[in-house]
Amino acid sequence: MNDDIYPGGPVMIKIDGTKIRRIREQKGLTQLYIATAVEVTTDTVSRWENKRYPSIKKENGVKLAQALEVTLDEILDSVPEVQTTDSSSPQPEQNNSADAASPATTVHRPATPLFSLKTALFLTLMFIPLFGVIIYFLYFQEDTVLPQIAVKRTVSANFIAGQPLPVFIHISSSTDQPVSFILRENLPPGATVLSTSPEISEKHKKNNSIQWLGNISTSALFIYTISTTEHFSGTLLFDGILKISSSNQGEIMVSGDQNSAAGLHHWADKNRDNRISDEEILTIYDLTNSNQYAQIDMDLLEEIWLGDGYIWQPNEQQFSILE
Amino acid sequence: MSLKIKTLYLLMVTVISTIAPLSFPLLSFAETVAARIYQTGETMTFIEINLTPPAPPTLIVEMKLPSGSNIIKTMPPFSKQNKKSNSIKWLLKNVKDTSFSIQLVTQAKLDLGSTTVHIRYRNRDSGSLTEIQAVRVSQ
Repeated sequence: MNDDIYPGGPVMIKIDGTKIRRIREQKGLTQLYIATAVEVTTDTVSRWENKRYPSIKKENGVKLAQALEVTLDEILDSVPEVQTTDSSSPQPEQNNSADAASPATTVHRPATPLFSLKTALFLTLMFIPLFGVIIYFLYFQEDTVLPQIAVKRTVSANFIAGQPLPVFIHISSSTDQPVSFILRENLPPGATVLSTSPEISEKHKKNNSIQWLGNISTSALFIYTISTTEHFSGTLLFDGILKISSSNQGEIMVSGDQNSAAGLHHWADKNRDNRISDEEILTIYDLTNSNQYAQIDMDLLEEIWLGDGYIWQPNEQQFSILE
Repeated sequence: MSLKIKTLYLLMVTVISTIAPLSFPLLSFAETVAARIYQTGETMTFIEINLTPPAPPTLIVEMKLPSGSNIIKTMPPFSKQNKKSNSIKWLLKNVKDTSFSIQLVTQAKLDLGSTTVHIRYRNRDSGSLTEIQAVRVSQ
């Protein structure tokens, strides 16, 4: 690996801008997407690709490789190969065959044209509609092939301060082709993350946000659980964005539920009637795809559902289940 | 040339728009959950549930029994019993089988005419709560 270590400084690596550009273009990723994933400017990405910054921090190199979905080694600048002028070294087969074929091209053509003017005109007229149809469908494909992405947040309108509150984000794509994405959720002030599923790629302390980076095909579910202090009162406001590498939608705001107010009702009790109804428990199981996620106490949910109701006891910080 | 393409496109649209509605009754009215209740012998009652993909993974089965019914056991065990309304409920999670039965053993023969079984689930497309009633079958 080409690590340049400067005493006391960060570990630097030498990257190959040409390879980076090639991989990025092959995968249909934009410089903006890469810049967002690595947390640099698009100018920096451009300079990397143009070899104006051949050495970069290893940390950025790792992020860059992750964004390009390759290993770090694949974007490193390899030692230049020695160009041999040895005539015995094998030449690419294509060149040999082309060279070998070139004398054959001097074979005299028959003097008569291959097609008569009438036949040529007929063939041309036959092919024009065919090309028209191909171009027409390609034009339509431009709209249909690009995936249409929808991203929706589901969070209860109510929660109990100090108790876990799960937030569900569902991404769905119109195609089953893998799409690279960055999902960023800005955490409401006063909230801290207890768990995430799947594991987040990054957490920004500065702007209190969490971020997932990866690929989806068809659909994906992201869950994170937050909590506030026991004394929190007011409303939590949620916002987030989704960035897609190959979409004409650019940056998409996470739609769906955007706030949740602290109160005395369990987050699963949507209608705040101090019961968890059949519909409410079925909704939770559907949201979690019947899987157990950390910090979602399904046993408690079922216990409340089995009972005749519940009352939140703030002093004891627990639920009393009515039988 | 463009006239030909437009004609071809219009032809395709016409064909699709004619064929598509014909398949809608099959698609939208196909019930994904069906259930029936029947008895074998004097004390054995079965609730048979059949699922057609895309079937819901979670189901709630509620059975309202005639007053005075005495259940000895159920398989799987019921999740909830309401003695006031004389009903029992099952919460069935991670349902993967396309057909399965709930078995009840009662002390005396159950009067099926006074027994109702409702299955509740969330529609996978719309997310709305759907409820169906099991059909009583005489064996």
